[in-house]
Amino acid sequence: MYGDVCRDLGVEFKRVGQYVCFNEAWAKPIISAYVWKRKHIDKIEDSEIISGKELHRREPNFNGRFRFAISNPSTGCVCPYGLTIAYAENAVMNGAKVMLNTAVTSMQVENGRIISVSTNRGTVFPHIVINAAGVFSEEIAKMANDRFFSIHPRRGTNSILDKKAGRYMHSVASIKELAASSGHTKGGGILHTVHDNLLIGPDAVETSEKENVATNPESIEKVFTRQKNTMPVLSERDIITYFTGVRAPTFEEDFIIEKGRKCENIIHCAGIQSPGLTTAPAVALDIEKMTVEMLGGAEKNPGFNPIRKPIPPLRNMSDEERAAMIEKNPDYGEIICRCEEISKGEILDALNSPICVPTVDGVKKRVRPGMGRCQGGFCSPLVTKIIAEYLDEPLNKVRKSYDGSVITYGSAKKGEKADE
Amino acid sequence: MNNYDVIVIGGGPAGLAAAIQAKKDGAEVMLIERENRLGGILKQCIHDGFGLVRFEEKLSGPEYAERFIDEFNSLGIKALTLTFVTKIAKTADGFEIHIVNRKGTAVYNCNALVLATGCRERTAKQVFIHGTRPSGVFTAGTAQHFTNLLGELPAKKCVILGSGDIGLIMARRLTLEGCKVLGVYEAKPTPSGLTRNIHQCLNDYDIPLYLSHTVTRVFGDERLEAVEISQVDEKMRPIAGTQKTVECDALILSVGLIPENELAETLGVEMDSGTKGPVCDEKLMTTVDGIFSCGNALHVNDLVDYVSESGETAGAAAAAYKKAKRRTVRLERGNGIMSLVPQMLDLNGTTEAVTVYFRSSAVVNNCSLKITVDGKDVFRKKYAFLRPPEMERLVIDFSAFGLTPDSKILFETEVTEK
Repeated sequence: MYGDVCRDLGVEFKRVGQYVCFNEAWAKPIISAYVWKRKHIDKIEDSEIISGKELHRREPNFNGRFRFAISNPSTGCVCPYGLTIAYAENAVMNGAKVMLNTAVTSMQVENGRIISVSTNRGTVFPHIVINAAGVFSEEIAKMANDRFFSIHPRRGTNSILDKKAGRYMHSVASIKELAASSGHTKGGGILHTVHDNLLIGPDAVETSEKENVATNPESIEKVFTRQKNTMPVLSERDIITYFTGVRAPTFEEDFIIEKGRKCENIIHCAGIQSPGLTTAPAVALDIEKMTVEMLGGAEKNPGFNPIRKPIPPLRNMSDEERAAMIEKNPDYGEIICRCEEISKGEILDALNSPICVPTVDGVKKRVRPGMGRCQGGFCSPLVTKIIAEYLDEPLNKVRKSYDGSVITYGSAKKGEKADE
Repeated sequence: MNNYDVIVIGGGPAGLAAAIQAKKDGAEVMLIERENRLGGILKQCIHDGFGLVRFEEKLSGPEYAERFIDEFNSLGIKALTLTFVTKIAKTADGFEIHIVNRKGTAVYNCNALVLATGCRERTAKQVFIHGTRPSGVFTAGTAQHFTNLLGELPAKKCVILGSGDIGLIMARRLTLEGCKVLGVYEAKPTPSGLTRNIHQCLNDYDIPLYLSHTVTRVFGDERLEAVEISQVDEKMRPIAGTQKTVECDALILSVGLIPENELAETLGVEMDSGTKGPVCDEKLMTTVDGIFSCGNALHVNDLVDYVSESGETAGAAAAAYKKAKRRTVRLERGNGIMSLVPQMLDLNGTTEAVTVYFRSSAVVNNCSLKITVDGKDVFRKKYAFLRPPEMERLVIDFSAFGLTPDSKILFETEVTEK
């Protein structure tokens, strides 16, 4: 399913394979039975047990002490925000409207039916509300008088390592410790990303703060201590960035994908956590079905176009393909981000995309300037300038991301005094 | 024409000097620069103090660069600007350089290659600063770009972390532009920048310097609102309970420079853990025949004068380069030596007057640099003091030491007994 989705949406998808590694030889018969079930009942046919020796042959930097591993060769990896943006853009191409910086503040509910939804930017009158509000899905449910679940936020921190460290391994790996209970998630792992970095993590820490995405040194320490068991060559020195997100599990630790219980025109898609991204395309089909039922039938849009053409990543092209692109648009030949080899043309394409987010982070998430080892040290002034020119605004109006996140304060030299 | 004797990558002070020297020595030279103007980082270094060693004059960065750019142009050397090297491949008789620019793509061939790719700045995450991700966290060079090239103030009230030279320069620069600099915080117990910059950039402007302090956390969801400062112990670990919060709208980082050698590494050039640059011989040829390194890509310099000097050494050697078997011996770092260039000698070359650069790993007074060959003292030079921020340069005649490829040559510092 993912292969088709990514091909249609123009999103990079690589089947890099996954290894779940075990230290304990005694567990092999039990795990073999589990893999037999995966193979023959769940129909994941390429799933198999490999020996420690074979694992070491395939991933020589892994801990040589592993006794065996489950190998899932068809496990794939995508860029999560790249996929999300692609979905959103495809929706907009087909007529959907996206309202960013818009917070739902209340709902008018009458006789178990949502009449209107108020936001900071005005009121809308929907036939159906789909609640996919993550950590805030319980607040949305409450506004609809349909709160039958609660969200128990859980923080997770990931580190991104330099592409140099990307050469250490080429798959997705995690270690299964049978002695200690590993808590709610797999306890993180190591992943070779589609952009050839390594991603290490995440950990899992219960929190009451839904929006607190500040990082802490303990998280990095914990994750690295654990993952060095899998791959001893891992080093904190290769870290180029780290970030925290908040998962939105329910108390029952189960996904809620169902129609409202006391509200007739809401569909909840809540409590989603790992493997949320993996299941998203399948979940979407369920939601589609419920939506059509709730509407009492709907006609297929004959003009629907599932194909989204991506912004061409020039760094992956041959010299000839690149030259052809540059001939059409010389901006593709002007490299702005030297670490990730991103051209001015790609940055302008991001600004002209179906959902324009004219901020430094918005551009970064779409075409990657600033994602590399210098973290925007060289290119951020250049990207800021390109955005200012695109917006036809002075440089001090350009933001990193949120409203108040300006980058500069204007020029003292031009008589525009920096205020006290 | 796509064939050159020497191609230089990087149009900063090292690359300019290398190209000029190679051209003067009769080579056909081309220089490739990714920005639209030559001069490298000097373009944004509008303070003075450049060129004291070389010209016995205090020049600004752009003035220093201009002297080389003028000479470069008068020699008629070809430069490709706004041009990015995407790939370098080794060929039977040299190197194949793939480039991209607004005209398209192209491939150039050369006999010898000079890598003058400079360095980059260490970032906030590389020194493990935690917290939120607001705007207002800049490396000093980025802040300098905004201030000096784009004419935009990146801060109104800021904290500077790290007492490296660019941090000190930016403390003064931002003060002059009307920004309040609350202090410079340094995790080490001694300053990282040149002594003259501590005086001219901090003391003269009453900007406090806090040693053995670091920033451990940043606050603010949109723009930076405050930073958390902690004292650190002798191993530079934060001491619990010493945290205090300082309100500011920018954090400027001057926490170290890293030589840029990604191209060199793709070509299999061996790297040195001391300099973080390539292992080079006395002609600044790397472990890959025909590839030379100079400037801040070779090792981080504190004076541009030495950057130019290493460019000239590499440029001359690249112009003269012919395939020949090298007979090398390593120069090893011993006690008290943080970095050493060159890291090896070619005994088939001329070793009468080798320029050696080194940095001490600690602040030491009344000491000497000692060179031993197979345990025997062969060279000694006294210093009143050695400091890690100040690179030392000396010229050594190695030909008198009776070296063979099996010699063990060790550089050490030794504190002189009183």
